Amino acid sequence: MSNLAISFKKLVDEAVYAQTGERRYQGSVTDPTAFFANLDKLTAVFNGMYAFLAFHPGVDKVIPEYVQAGSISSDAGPRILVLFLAAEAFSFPRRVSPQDLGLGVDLDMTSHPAYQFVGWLFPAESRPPLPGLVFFDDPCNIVEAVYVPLTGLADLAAVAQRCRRVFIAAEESHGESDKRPDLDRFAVALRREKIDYVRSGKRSFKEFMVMTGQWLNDHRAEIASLVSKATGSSHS
Amino acid sequence: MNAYLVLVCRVQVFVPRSGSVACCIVIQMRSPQARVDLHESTIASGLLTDFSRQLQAFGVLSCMTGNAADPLITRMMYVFAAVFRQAEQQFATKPALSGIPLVYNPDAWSSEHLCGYAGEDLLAAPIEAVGSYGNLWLLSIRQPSVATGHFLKCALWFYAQGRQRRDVIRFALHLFEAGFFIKLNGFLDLIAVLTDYCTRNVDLSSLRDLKRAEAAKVGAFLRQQDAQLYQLPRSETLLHEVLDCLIEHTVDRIEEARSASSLDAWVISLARLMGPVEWLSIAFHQAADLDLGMVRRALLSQIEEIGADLHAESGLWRTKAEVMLPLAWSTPTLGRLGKEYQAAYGDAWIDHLTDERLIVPRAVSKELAAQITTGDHIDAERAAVPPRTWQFCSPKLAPMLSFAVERDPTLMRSNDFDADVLVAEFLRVEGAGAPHSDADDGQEFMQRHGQHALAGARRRLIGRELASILADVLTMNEQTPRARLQDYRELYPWSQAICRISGIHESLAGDPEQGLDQLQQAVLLGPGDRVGWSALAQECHRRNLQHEAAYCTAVAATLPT
Repeated sequence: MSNLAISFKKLVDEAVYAQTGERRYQGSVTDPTAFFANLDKLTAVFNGMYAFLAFHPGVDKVIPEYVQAGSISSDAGPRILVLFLAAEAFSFPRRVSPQDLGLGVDLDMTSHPAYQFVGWLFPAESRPPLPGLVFFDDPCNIVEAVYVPLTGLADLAAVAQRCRRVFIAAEESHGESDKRPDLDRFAVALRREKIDYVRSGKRSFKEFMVMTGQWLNDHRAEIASLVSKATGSSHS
Repeated sequence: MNAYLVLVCRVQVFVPRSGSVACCIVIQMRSPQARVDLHESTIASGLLTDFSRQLQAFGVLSCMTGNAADPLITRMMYVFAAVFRQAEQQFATKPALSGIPLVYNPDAWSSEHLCGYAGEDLLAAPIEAVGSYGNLWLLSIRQPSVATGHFLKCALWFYAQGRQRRDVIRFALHLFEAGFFIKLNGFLDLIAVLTDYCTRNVDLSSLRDLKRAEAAKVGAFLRQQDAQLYQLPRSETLLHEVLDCLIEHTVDRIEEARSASSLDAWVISLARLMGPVEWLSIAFHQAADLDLGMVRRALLSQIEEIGADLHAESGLWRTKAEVMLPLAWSTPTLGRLGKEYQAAYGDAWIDHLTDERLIVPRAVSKELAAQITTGDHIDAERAAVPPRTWQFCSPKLAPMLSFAVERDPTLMRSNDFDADVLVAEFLRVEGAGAPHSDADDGQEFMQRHGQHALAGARRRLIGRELASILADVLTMNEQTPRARLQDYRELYPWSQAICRISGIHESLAGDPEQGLDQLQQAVLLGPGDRVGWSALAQECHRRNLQHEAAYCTAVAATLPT
């Protein structure tokens, strides 16, 4: 079973359409100049947490395996948007292929965009090891992200088990069902579960996207979001 | 003299929810003329495969265009029944279906199961499938709600046999793709009600292990549920699960359509998407009420745009048919959309447009883009012309596409007439009293009056031209240049008469293999034409293919003159 993913830019396009009802003749063609201006509209319609999967495909091989295996979409649930750097554009929603997860496999760790992101979030002296999940509740504004390392996990089962516990803790950060997520509450839940985490310096995901935008364009790559999968009880 | 032939082959044995088993069978051959295994006849088995696909194609294409008429269906079913019935009678082994979804025919059905996948859940001969298709198509036209009830009955029975929710949704999708729904609304209604059953946790245990003979009990169960179903609470999670199943299936099929390697594959893929895309488009417009969440809404939004592309494609086929223009595939919005995509994505515009929409398949997208691009400039008004192999559907699909747009394939001219010729014909019959200036410039006339005004003129010109061509080809002999016949074939590529005569000429005086191929194409273009079957029978006889010859002769004998 493989996962479905959608372009992060398309989510922003849709957020604009959901609020304004305006769709142009050509459909949801992304207007690059309007993308950053519209990013805040996503926050208005998505009342959940963002989790950026930071890994190097050549080194952290078990992470792409976990994504490829397919359970991450149901593990994360509908209120967590799992983002990753995709090696191919997601002009239309489709299944994630192994090639999608191989972005920058030939790059070293100082130049890989996922590593750059974590390096940029944390000062050199306190930089946590990769791979890991970067959680934030607002893609536009400056926040202190929560970083959960996924290091030292030997195999797929171990990664899946750790991620499930982390996602459950993230789900708790909502408190009551209709409340926005709260990174402090998330940190408390992680501490209670004895899961290591690190709080970042004050940064915004938007800045990271501006930083990497040209690089991604040059490689026809982009930030994509995994689509959460509903799993109901089986029929009896 | 008796001869014995031992064959080791795979036969489908009915074992519920299991595959097939290998076994050894002995066929007694009493004489060289005795019946042979169908698989030994490449001509007959190839034709039957193509006719099976035609049957399915007619269903999905009719759904796409919205055209399906009772007399046409009745006539088609008669022909298909003759084709498959004779295969059963003329060959030692019956043709077997495998992998396709089936629902029972209320009039005649040999399996104890109400529905399932052929070869996996039940054994059914193609002739049974033909009966099921025909009956349900006619029911869909005459009593749509009864037809929907039948599909629902089968789907719920299928669900009740220990299947998962996703299995039954996929079964309904597979039925649509197999062409069982002649009307789009029938499919949309089925999915809507099926979704209600799947998301309200209805107790279906009383339907478990019911046999075909007890189908009435399923009907009684449905009538009882009518009053109770909507009193049960709907699970939001289960609704999302059903939607996710539909979305995943649709997204995969859209990707397959983009990768089509031929025009036939492209046309069929788009038609097969019409049902699920239409249903998901409806769901998109209810996204707020259904509390689907942001990501699901974004997925549905992109699928809804694909729906616009499908309707545009369907509309183009219908319009071309109405005004008697060539039924050639074209993509007139490529330039206009291309400009928009170029503004967003620069040089990579055609890749993004191809991957995001269903305007053009990958196989020809770059070639067509190059035709309308000079440097960085896209000429939005310039029409990109697909390569010849991408302009017209093959004889396998052509008649079904034609029927679905209510057009006689024989009258499909591959080039339109010159504007001046058309206008002159229009003025000759319909334009008496029109201002004289109208006749001055054909192009200007067309712009002013539109293509619809000229449909009658085209029809008359085609009729006269075709009559003259047929008169000519009927007097051709071995000395006639082959090029003339080839020109006629190119001009009327879907005329079974020209195709047949060309096949006979090739066979006798040109390339015999091409001749045989054209004679087979002729029966695919006109399965109900007994002359075509007789001509193929003659050719088989000439090649000493006696079993094939007997089969074609038998089909011809059952068709009306």
